[in-house]
Amino acid sequence: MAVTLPKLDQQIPSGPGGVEIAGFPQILHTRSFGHPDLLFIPLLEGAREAVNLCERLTTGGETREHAATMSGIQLVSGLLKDSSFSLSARGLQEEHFYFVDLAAGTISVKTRLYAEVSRRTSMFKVEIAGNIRDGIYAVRSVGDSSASLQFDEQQVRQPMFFSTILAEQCLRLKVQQDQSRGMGATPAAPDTTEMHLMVPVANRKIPVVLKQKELNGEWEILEAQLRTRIGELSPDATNHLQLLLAGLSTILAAVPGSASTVPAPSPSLVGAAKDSSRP
Amino acid sequence: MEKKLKLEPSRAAESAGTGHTQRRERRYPFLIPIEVSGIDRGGQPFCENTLTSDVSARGCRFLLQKELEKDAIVAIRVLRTLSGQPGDSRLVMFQIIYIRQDPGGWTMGAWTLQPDVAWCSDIPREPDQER
Repeated sequence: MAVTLPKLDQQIPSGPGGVEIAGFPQILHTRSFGHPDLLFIPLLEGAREAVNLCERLTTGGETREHAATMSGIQLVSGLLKDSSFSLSARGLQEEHFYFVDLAAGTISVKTRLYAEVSRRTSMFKVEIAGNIRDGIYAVRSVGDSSASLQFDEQQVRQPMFFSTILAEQCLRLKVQQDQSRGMGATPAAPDTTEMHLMVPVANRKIPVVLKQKELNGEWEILEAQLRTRIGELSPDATNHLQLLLAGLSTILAAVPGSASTVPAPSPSLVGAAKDSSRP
Repeated sequence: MEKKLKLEPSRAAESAGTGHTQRRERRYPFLIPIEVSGIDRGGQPFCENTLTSDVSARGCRFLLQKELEKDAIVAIRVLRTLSGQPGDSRLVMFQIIYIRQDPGGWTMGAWTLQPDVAWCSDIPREPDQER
């Protein structure tokens, strides 16, 4: 099995990178295929085949250790078929660094992104991590443990995803966060009632939005970055939320000057934070 | 009178026509049972038991029925030591650095990817390894 790499194209960013496969004693270094726009998807597909081999061997009676070793060898051999790849000792600082754990079924890459949005340019280091078998990929700033963005595999497969779409999304999010910090409010669409939460799930924090429908007052749950609908609050949870908001409203009403930062809530939306940061 | 087999390590450098590397380590003509596993030329996993024809601290030579590609990665496990004791169960990664077709199969030279690991306990430690 060879890992099928795309042809180098002047429009696609290229550069050196490293791939570490858990349990393998050396690093695979590439001179030119390091950028995630070139390597992430081929590596994911190679890793997926390797995971399948690992499961096949385990089912056939191999020990877990031997099966993991064989699947690692398959992935390494596939990459080494491309002359851009060579084995090297650990310790090199790579601009794009991939880590594949076939036993755990995970893949991640630490990379630098560069973007320009609304006359603001920025370069930042992010880590993209997810599951090899069925990908939801979380993107977080290196050095900051909270998840900042999430994408599915279909989105990641878009051409130039990392260098354009993801880089811009990261920068937009950073601009939003900076604005929110500056104004002391959470950004939201105008004239909507929303609550932004970071929900701890396992070792991650997933950003979600609770948004109240104008029609019937029910609360929808949205994924925060792409604003895709996850579900809606049950009547019990809605009652709890209304109690919480009423309590907050009472507290805020007693705080001097709070009316200047939090707009007056409508009677049906007691205490919900409305966006005041946009016209 | 008991005839003792004298094991003289060879110091011959070997290029084997690959231009890849020259082994200048001491090589010992030890016939050690090993298990070699990896991915064959057709992309299929294999596992084959064989004997080394010579060994060194960082490499070994053996005969396989499977044909592999040059630079292929294999995992080698020592099955028994020269004294007949079971080998440790550890898998050590090697890279195939030369291949030659022989009447009995394919003779291969392999070089360890884990130079810090003593892959075979029968190989005497050389002065530069003793620290």
